[in-house]
Amino acid sequence: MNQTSPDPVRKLFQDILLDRPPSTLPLVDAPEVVTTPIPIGDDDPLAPIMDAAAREAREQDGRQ
Amino acid sequence: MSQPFDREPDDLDIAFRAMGDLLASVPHQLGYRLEGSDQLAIQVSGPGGRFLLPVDWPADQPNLHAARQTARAIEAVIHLHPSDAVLLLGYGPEAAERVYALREALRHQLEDTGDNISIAAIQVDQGQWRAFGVGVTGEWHPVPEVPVSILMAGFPAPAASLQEYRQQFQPLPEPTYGALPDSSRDLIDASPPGIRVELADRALQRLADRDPNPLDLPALAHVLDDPAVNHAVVTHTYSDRARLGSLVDAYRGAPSEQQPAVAAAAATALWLHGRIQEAQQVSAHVPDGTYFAASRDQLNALINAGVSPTQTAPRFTAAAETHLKYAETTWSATQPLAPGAPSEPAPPAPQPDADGPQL
Repeated sequence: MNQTSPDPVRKLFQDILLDRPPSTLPLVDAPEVVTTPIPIGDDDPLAPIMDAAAREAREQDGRQ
Repeated sequence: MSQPFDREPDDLDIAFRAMGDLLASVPHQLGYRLEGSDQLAIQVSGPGGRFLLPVDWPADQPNLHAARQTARAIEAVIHLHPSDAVLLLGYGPEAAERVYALREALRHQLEDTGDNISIAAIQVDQGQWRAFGVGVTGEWHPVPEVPVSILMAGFPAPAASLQEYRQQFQPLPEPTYGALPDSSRDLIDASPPGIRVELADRALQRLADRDPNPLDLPALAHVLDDPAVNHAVVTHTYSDRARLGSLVDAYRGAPSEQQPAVAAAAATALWLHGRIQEAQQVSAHVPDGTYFAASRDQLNALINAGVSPTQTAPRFTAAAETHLKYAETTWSATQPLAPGAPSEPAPPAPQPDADGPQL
Protein backbone atom coordinates (compact mmCIF):
# COMPACT_ATOMS: atom_id res chain seq x y z
CA MET A 1 0.00 0.00 0.00
CA ASN A 2 3.03 2.26 -0.12
CA GLN A 3 1.99 5.26 -2.11
CA THR A 4 3.44 8.45 -3.46
CA SER A 5 0.29 10.57 -3.35
CA PRO A 6 0.62 14.22 -2.29
CA ASP A 7 1.93 14.18 1.25
CA PRO A 8 1.18 17.40 3.19
CA VAL A 9 3.42 16.30 6.07
CA ARG A 10 6.36 15.95 3.74
CA LYS A 11 5.52 19.36 2.26
CA LEU A 12 5.34 20.86 5.76
CA PHE A 13 8.76 19.54 6.67
CA GLN A 14 10.21 20.88 3.43
CA ASP A 15 8.69 24.30 4.11
CA ILE A 16 10.07 24.38 7.64
CA LEU A 17 13.55 23.52 6.41
CA LEU A 18 13.38 26.08 3.60
CA ASP A 19 12.12 28.82 5.94
CA ARG A 20 14.87 28.25 8.44
CA PRO A 21 17.14 31.30 8.30
CA PRO A 22 20.70 30.29 7.50
CA SER A 23 21.95 32.44 10.38
CA THR A 24 20.01 30.47 12.99
CA LEU A 25 22.29 28.82 15.51
CA PRO A 26 22.24 25.06 15.55
CA LEU A 27 20.56 23.70 18.65
CA VAL A 28 23.91 22.87 20.18
CA ASP A 29 27.03 24.79 19.20
CA ALA A 30 29.58 22.82 21.20
CA PRO A 31 30.98 19.93 19.20
CA GLU A 32 32.44 18.07 22.18
CA VAL A 33 29.15 18.02 24.07
CA VAL A 34 26.15 15.99 23.04
CA THR A 35 22.72 17.08 24.22
CA THR A 36 19.23 17.14 22.83
CA PRO A 37 16.81 19.19 24.92
CA ILE A 38 13.61 17.43 25.94
CA PRO A 39 10.72 19.93 25.97
CA ILE A 40 8.42 19.59 28.97
CA GLY A 41 4.91 20.81 28.19
CA ASP A 42 2.44 22.43 30.55
CA ASP A 43 0.47 19.20 30.84
CA ASP A 44 3.51 17.13 31.78
CA PRO A 45 3.49 16.00 35.42
CA LEU A 46 7.10 17.13 35.69
CA ALA A 47 6.15 20.73 34.77
CA PRO A 48 4.98 21.89 38.25
CA ILE A 49 7.98 20.20 39.85
CA MET A 50 10.37 21.96 37.47
CA ASP A 51 8.59 25.28 37.98
CA ALA A 52 8.89 24.99 41.76
CA ALA A 53 12.58 24.08 41.56
CA ALA A 54 13.26 26.97 39.17
CA ARG A 55 11.39 29.36 41.46
CA GLU A 56 13.56 28.26 44.37
CA ALA A 57 16.70 28.71 42.29
CA ARG A 58 15.64 32.26 41.44
CA GLU A 59 14.76 33.02 45.08
CA GLN A 60 18.09 31.64 46.24
CA ASP A 61 19.92 33.63 43.59
CA GLY A 62 18.21 36.79 44.79
CA ARG A 63 19.55 36.24 48.29
CA GLN A 64 23.17 35.88 47.25
CA MET B 1 40.05 25.50 41.17
CA SER B 2 39.33 26.49 44.74
CA GLN B 3 36.03 25.31 46.14
CA PRO B 4 34.52 26.86 49.25
CA PHE B 5 32.90 23.58 50.25
CA ASP B 6 34.04 23.80 53.86
CA ARG B 7 31.93 26.75 54.94
CA GLU B 8 28.89 26.32 57.13
CA PRO B 9 25.54 25.91 55.38
CA ASP B 10 23.16 28.86 55.66
CA ASP B 11 19.58 29.07 54.49
CA LEU B 12 20.58 27.41 51.21
CA ASP B 13 18.89 24.14 52.20
CA ILE B 14 15.66 25.83 53.26
CA ALA B 15 15.47 27.49 49.85
CA PHE B 16 15.65 24.21 47.92
CA ARG B 17 12.77 22.21 49.35
CA ALA B 18 11.32 21.35 45.92
CA MET B 19 14.65 20.17 44.57
CA GLY B 20 14.29 16.69 46.07
CA ASP B 21 11.12 16.04 44.09
CA LEU B 22 12.87 17.11 40.91
CA LEU B 23 15.86 14.86 41.57
CA ALA B 24 13.58 11.90 42.32
CA SER B 25 11.60 12.52 39.11
CA VAL B 26 14.39 13.12 36.60
CA PRO B 27 15.33 9.43 36.08
CA HIS B 28 11.70 8.62 35.29
CA GLN B 29 11.51 11.45 32.78
CA LEU B 30 14.79 10.54 31.09
CA GLY B 31 14.12 6.79 31.26
CA TYR B 32 17.34 5.77 33.01
CA ARG B 33 19.37 6.30 36.18
CA LEU B 34 22.36 8.62 35.87
CA GLU B 35 24.48 7.36 38.75
CA GLY B 36 27.70 5.85 37.48
CA SER B 37 27.50 7.70 34.17
CA ASP B 38 29.24 10.80 32.86
CA GLN B 39 25.92 12.50 32.25
CA LEU B 40 24.49 15.60 33.82
CA ALA B 41 20.81 16.51 33.75
CA ILE B 42 20.25 20.20 33.20
CA GLN B 43 16.98 22.03 33.57
CA VAL B 44 16.54 25.17 31.48
CA SER B 45 13.29 27.04 32.09
CA GLY B 46 11.71 30.42 31.62
CA PRO B 47 9.58 32.33 29.10
CA GLY B 48 10.90 30.13 26.26
CA GLY B 49 9.58 26.95 27.88
CA ARG B 50 10.92 24.17 30.06
CA PHE B 51 13.62 21.81 28.86
CA LEU B 52 15.52 18.94 30.34
CA LEU B 53 18.96 18.43 28.82
CA PRO B 54 20.82 15.17 29.34
CA VAL B 55 24.43 16.18 28.75
CA ASP B 56 27.35 13.85 28.12
CA TRP B 57 30.15 15.37 30.17
CA PRO B 58 33.39 15.17 28.16
CA ALA B 59 35.15 13.26 30.94
CA ASP B 60 38.32 12.80 28.90
CA GLN B 61 38.88 16.57 29.03
CA PRO B 62 40.10 18.66 31.98
CA ASN B 63 37.13 19.86 34.03
CA LEU B 64 37.63 23.49 33.07
CA HIS B 65 37.57 22.71 29.34
CA ALA B 66 34.64 20.31 29.74
CA ALA B 67 32.77 22.97 31.70
CA ARG B 68 33.32 25.57 28.99
CA GLN B 69 32.11 23.20 26.28
CA THR B 70 29.03 22.25 28.28
CA ALA B 71 28.32 25.91 29.05
CA ARG B 72 28.40 26.67 25.32
CA ALA B 73 25.89 23.89 24.69
CA ILE B 74 23.55 25.28 27.37
CA GLU B 75 23.94 28.83 26.07
CA ALA B 76 22.99 27.64 22.58
CA VAL B 77 19.73 26.26 23.96
CA ILE B 78 19.04 29.46 25.92
CA HIS B 79 19.68 31.46 22.75
CA LEU B 80 16.72 29.69 21.11
CA HIS B 81 14.53 29.45 24.21
CA PRO B 82 14.72 32.53 26.49
CA SER B 83 15.23 31.33 30.05
CA ASP B 84 15.60 32.73 33.55
CA ALA B 85 16.69 29.65 35.54
CA VAL B 86 19.22 26.88 34.91
CA LEU B 87 19.60 23.94 37.29
CA LEU B 88 22.74 21.85 36.97
CA LEU B 89 22.21 18.33 38.34
CA GLY B 90 25.39 16.27 38.61
CA TYR B 91 25.53 12.63 39.69
CA GLY B 92 28.21 10.63 41.45
CA PRO B 93 31.27 11.47 43.55
CA GLU B 94 32.86 13.60 40.81
CA ALA B 95 29.77 15.73 40.31
CA ALA B 96 30.73 18.34 42.91
CA GLU B 97 33.76 19.41 40.89
CA ARG B 98 31.79 19.25 37.63
CA VAL B 99 28.72 21.27 38.61
CA TYR B 100 30.86 23.84 40.40
CA ALA B 101 33.12 24.31 37.37
CA LEU B 102 30.10 24.32 35.06
CA ARG B 103 28.28 26.95 37.08
CA GLU B 104 31.28 29.25 36.94
CA ALA B 105 31.76 28.65 33.20
CA LEU B 106 28.07 29.22 32.54
CA ARG B 107 28.03 32.46 34.53
CA HIS B 108 30.98 33.65 32.45
CA GLN B 109 29.35 32.50 29.20
CA LEU B 110 26.05 34.21 30.00
CA GLU B 111 27.73 37.43 31.11
CA ASP B 112 29.34 37.55 27.69
CA THR B 113 25.95 37.38 26.02
CA GLY B 114 24.26 39.76 28.45
CA ASP B 115 21.88 37.24 29.91
CA ASN B 116 20.70 37.44 33.52
CA ILE B 117 19.82 33.94 34.62
CA SER B 118 19.70 32.23 38.01
CA ILE B 119 21.89 29.14 38.20
CA ALA B 120 21.66 26.36 40.80
CA ALA B 121 24.29 23.61 41.13
CA ILE B 122 23.32 20.28 42.72
CA GLN B 123 25.23 17.07 43.41
CA VAL B 124 23.48 13.73 43.81
CA ASP B 125 25.46 10.81 45.22
CA GLN B 126 24.49 7.54 46.90
CA GLY B 127 20.84 8.51 47.33
CA GLN B 128 21.62 11.94 48.78
CA TRP B 129 21.85 15.42 47.36
CA ARG B 130 23.30 18.81 48.28
CA ALA B 131 23.29 22.28 46.74
CA PHE B 132 26.18 24.61 46.08
CA GLY B 133 25.58 28.31 46.55
CA VAL B 134 28.04 31.14 46.10
CA GLY B 135 30.63 30.49 48.77
CA VAL B 136 28.53 27.92 50.59
CA THR B 137 27.75 24.23 50.37
CA GLY B 138 24.42 22.88 51.57
CA GLU B 139 23.97 19.86 53.80
CA TRP B 140 23.30 16.37 52.45
CA HIS B 141 19.63 15.39 52.17
CA PRO B 142 18.14 12.04 51.20
CA VAL B 143 16.60 12.00 47.72
CA PRO B 144 12.88 11.51 48.50
CA GLU B 145 10.51 8.94 47.06
CA VAL B 146 9.29 9.57 43.52
CA PRO B 147 6.28 11.94 43.65
CA VAL B 148 2.92 10.24 43.24
CA SER B 149 2.10 12.53 40.31
CA ILE B 150 5.04 11.03 38.40
CA LEU B 151 4.18 7.43 39.30
CA MET B 152 0.55 7.98 38.28
CA ALA B 153 1.54 9.46 34.91
CA GLY B 154 2.58 6.12 33.43
CA PHE B 155 6.33 6.62 33.30
CA PRO B 156 8.00 3.22 33.09
CA ALA B 157 10.56 2.37 35.76
CA PRO B 158 13.90 3.89 34.72
CA ALA B 159 16.50 1.58 33.20
CA ALA B 160 19.58 0.88 35.30
CA SER B 161 21.86 2.78 32.91
CA LEU B 162 21.92 4.84 29.73
CA GLN B 163 23.32 1.84 27.82
CA GLU B 164 20.42 -0.32 28.95
CA TYR B 165 17.97 2.44 28.04
CA ARG B 166 19.38 2.82 24.51
CA GLN B 167 19.02 -0.92 24.02
CA GLN B 168 15.28 -0.40 24.41
CA PHE B 169 15.24 1.40 21.03
CA GLN B 170 17.03 -1.27 19.01
CA PRO B 171 15.08 -3.85 16.97
CA LEU B 172 14.73 -7.21 18.69
CA PRO B 173 16.85 -10.07 17.27
CA GLU B 174 13.71 -11.84 15.98
CA PRO B 175 10.27 -10.50 15.03
CA THR B 176 7.68 -10.89 17.74
CA TYR B 177 4.78 -11.13 15.29
CA GLY B 178 4.14 -12.17 11.72
CA ALA B 179 2.24 -10.97 8.69
CA LEU B 180 -1.49 -10.44 8.72
CA PRO B 181 -3.52 -13.41 7.34
CA ASP B 182 -4.64 -12.81 3.75
CA SER B 183 -8.33 -12.70 4.62
CA SER B 184 -7.83 -10.04 7.29
CA ARG B 185 -5.46 -8.06 5.06
CA ASP B 186 -7.98 -7.98 2.19
CA LEU B 187 -10.73 -6.85 4.54
CA ILE B 188 -8.59 -4.06 5.97
CA ASP B 189 -7.33 -2.94 2.55
CA ALA B 190 -10.93 -2.63 1.35
CA SER B 191 -11.82 -0.23 4.16
CA PRO B 192 -11.50 3.57 3.98
CA PRO B 193 -8.39 5.20 5.47
CA GLY B 194 -10.30 6.64 8.42
CA ILE B 195 -11.42 3.17 9.44
CA ARG B 196 -7.84 1.94 9.21
CA VAL B 197 -6.74 4.79 11.49
CA GLU B 198 -9.48 3.83 13.94
CA LEU B 199 -8.33 0.22 13.79
CA ALA B 200 -4.73 1.24 14.54
CA ASP B 201 -5.77 3.57 17.36
CA ARG B 202 -7.79 0.84 19.05
CA ALA B 203 -5.00 -1.69 18.61
CA LEU B 204 -2.47 0.72 20.14
CA GLN B 205 -4.78 1.43 23.05
CA ARG B 206 -5.25 -2.28 23.76
CA LEU B 207 -1.48 -2.78 23.54
CA ALA B 208 -0.96 0.14 25.91
CA ASP B 209 -3.53 -1.37 28.28
CA ARG B 210 -1.69 -4.72 28.00
CA ASP B 211 -4.87 -6.40 26.81
CA PRO B 212 -4.20 -6.88 23.08
CA ASN B 213 -6.03 -9.00 20.54
CA PRO B 214 -3.86 -11.57 18.74
CA LEU B 215 -3.91 -9.63 15.44
CA ASP B 216 -3.38 -6.15 16.89
CA LEU B 217 0.34 -5.95 16.11
CA PRO B 218 0.16 -7.40 12.55
CA ALA B 219 -2.84 -5.19 11.75
CA LEU B 220 -1.18 -2.08 13.18
CA ALA B 221 2.02 -2.69 11.22
CA HIS B 222 0.04 -3.33 8.03
CA VAL B 223 -2.06 -0.16 8.11
CA LEU B 224 0.95 2.03 8.94
CA ASP B 225 2.29 1.28 5.46
CA ASP B 226 -0.15 3.90 4.10
CA PRO B 227 1.53 7.31 4.75
CA ALA B 228 -1.80 9.08 5.37
CA VAL B 229 -2.77 6.51 7.98
CA ASN B 230 0.78 6.51 9.37
CA HIS B 231 0.77 10.26 9.98
CA ALA B 232 -2.72 10.24 11.50
CA VAL B 233 -1.75 7.48 13.94
CA VAL B 234 1.37 9.43 14.90
CA THR B 235 -0.75 12.48 15.79
CA HIS B 236 -2.91 10.30 18.06
CA THR B 237 0.11 8.73 19.74
CA TYR B 238 3.03 11.10 20.30
CA SER B 239 1.70 12.84 23.41
CA ASP B 240 0.58 9.65 25.18
CA ARG B 241 3.49 7.86 26.87
CA ALA B 242 1.82 4.46 27.09
CA ARG B 243 0.69 4.42 23.46
CA LEU B 244 4.06 5.76 22.33
CA GLY B 245 5.75 2.94 24.23
CA SER B 246 3.50 0.42 22.48
CA LEU B 247 4.36 1.91 19.09
CA VAL B 248 8.07 1.59 19.89
CA ASP B 249 7.46 -2.04 20.93
CA ALA B 250 5.68 -2.65 17.61
CA TYR B 251 8.71 -1.27 15.74
CA ARG B 252 11.17 -3.35 17.76
CA GLY B 253 9.34 -6.59 17.04
CA ALA B 254 8.28 -5.85 13.45
CA PRO B 255 8.99 -8.30 10.62
CA SER B 256 11.47 -6.84 8.12
CA GLU B 257 8.75 -6.04 5.52
CA GLN B 258 6.81 -3.90 8.00
CA GLN B 259 9.75 -2.37 9.81
CA PRO B 260 10.25 0.73 7.57
CA ALA B 261 6.70 2.02 8.12
CA VAL B 262 6.55 1.18 11.82
CA ALA B 263 10.03 2.58 12.47
CA ALA B 264 9.14 5.79 10.61
CA ALA B 265 5.98 6.21 12.70
CA ALA B 266 7.81 5.50 15.95
CA ALA B 267 10.68 7.86 15.06
CA THR B 268 8.34 10.72 14.15
CA ALA B 269 6.23 10.20 17.27
CA LEU B 270 9.35 10.12 19.46
CA TRP B 271 10.60 13.34 17.89
CA LEU B 272 7.27 15.11 18.37
CA HIS B 273 7.35 13.91 22.00
CA GLY B 274 10.76 15.56 22.37
CA ARG B 275 12.76 12.34 22.48
CA ILE B 276 15.22 13.47 19.85
CA GLN B 277 18.10 11.08 20.45
CA GLU B 278 15.69 8.16 20.57
CA ALA B 279 14.04 9.35 17.35
CA GLN B 280 17.42 9.39 15.61
CA GLN B 281 18.19 5.93 16.94
CA VAL B 282 14.91 4.50 15.61
CA SER B 283 14.95 6.35 12.29
CA ALA B 284 18.33 4.74 11.49
CA HIS B 285 16.37 1.52 11.01
CA VAL B 286 14.31 2.89 8.12
CA PRO B 287 16.13 1.41 5.11
CA ASP B 288 16.91 3.14 1.83
CA GLY B 289 14.71 2.43 -1.15
CA THR B 290 11.39 2.75 0.69
CA TYR B 291 8.81 5.54 0.74
CA PHE B 292 9.70 6.22 4.35
CA ALA B 293 13.43 6.70 3.64
CA ALA B 294 12.65 10.27 2.53
CA SER B 295 10.72 10.80 5.78
CA ARG B 296 13.77 9.55 7.68
CA ASP B 297 16.01 12.01 5.83
CA GLN B 298 13.62 14.88 6.51
CA LEU B 299 13.44 14.02 10.19
CA ASN B 300 17.22 13.99 10.47
CA ALA B 301 17.41 17.32 8.63
CA LEU B 302 14.89 18.84 11.05
CA ILE B 303 16.89 17.57 14.02
CA ASN B 304 20.18 18.84 12.61
CA ALA B 305 18.60 22.23 11.94
CA GLY B 306 17.48 22.47 15.58
CA VAL B 307 13.77 22.67 14.69
CA SER B 308 11.61 22.55 17.81
CA PRO B 309 9.31 19.51 17.87
CA THR B 310 7.04 21.30 20.34
CA GLN B 311 6.44 24.16 17.94
CA THR B 312 6.08 21.82 14.98
CA ALA B 313 3.55 19.46 16.57
CA PRO B 314 0.38 21.54 15.88
CA ARG B 315 1.41 22.05 12.25
CA PHE B 316 2.17 18.35 11.90
CA THR B 317 -1.29 17.51 13.23
CA ALA B 318 -2.95 19.90 10.78
CA ALA B 319 -0.96 18.51 7.84
CA ALA B 320 -1.76 14.94 8.86
CA GLU B 321 -5.48 15.79 9.01
CA THR B 322 -5.31 17.29 5.53
CA HIS B 323 -3.53 14.19 4.28
CA LEU B 324 -6.14 11.88 5.76
CA LYS B 325 -9.05 13.90 4.36
CA TYR B 326 -7.50 13.80 0.93
CA ALA B 327 -6.88 10.05 1.23
CA GLU B 328 -10.51 9.55 2.32
CA THR B 329 -11.84 11.48 -0.66
CA THR B 330 -9.54 9.69 -3.06
CA TRP B 331 -10.64 6.36 -1.63
CA SER B 332 -14.33 7.32 -1.99
CA ALA B 333 -13.78 8.32 -5.61
CA THR B 334 -12.51 4.83 -6.39
CA GLN B 335 -15.55 3.06 -4.95
CA PRO B 336 -18.34 1.81 -7.25
CA LEU B 337 -21.31 4.16 -7.18
CA ALA B 338 -24.64 2.90 -5.90
CA PRO B 339 -27.35 2.96 -8.59
CA GLY B 340 -28.81 6.48 -8.85
CA ALA B 341 -26.19 8.07 -6.59
CA PRO B 342 -24.88 11.47 -7.75
CA SER B 343 -21.29 11.48 -8.78
CA GLU B 344 -18.93 13.66 -6.77
CA PRO B 345 -15.64 14.90 -8.18
CA ALA B 346 -12.51 14.50 -6.11
CA PRO B 347 -11.26 17.76 -4.55
CA PRO B 348 -8.05 19.32 -5.78
CA ALA B 349 -5.02 17.65 -4.32
CA PRO B 350 -2.81 19.47 -1.83
CA GLN B 351 0.30 20.92 -3.36
CA PRO B 352 2.36 17.90 -4.37
CA ASP B 353 5.70 17.70 -2.68
CA ALA B 354 7.20 16.79 -6.02
CA ASP B 355 6.98 20.50 -6.88
CA GLY B 356 9.17 21.45 -3.97
CA PRO B 357 12.90 20.97 -3.73
CA GLN B 358 13.97 17.51 -2.72
CA LEU B 359 16.22 16.99 0.28
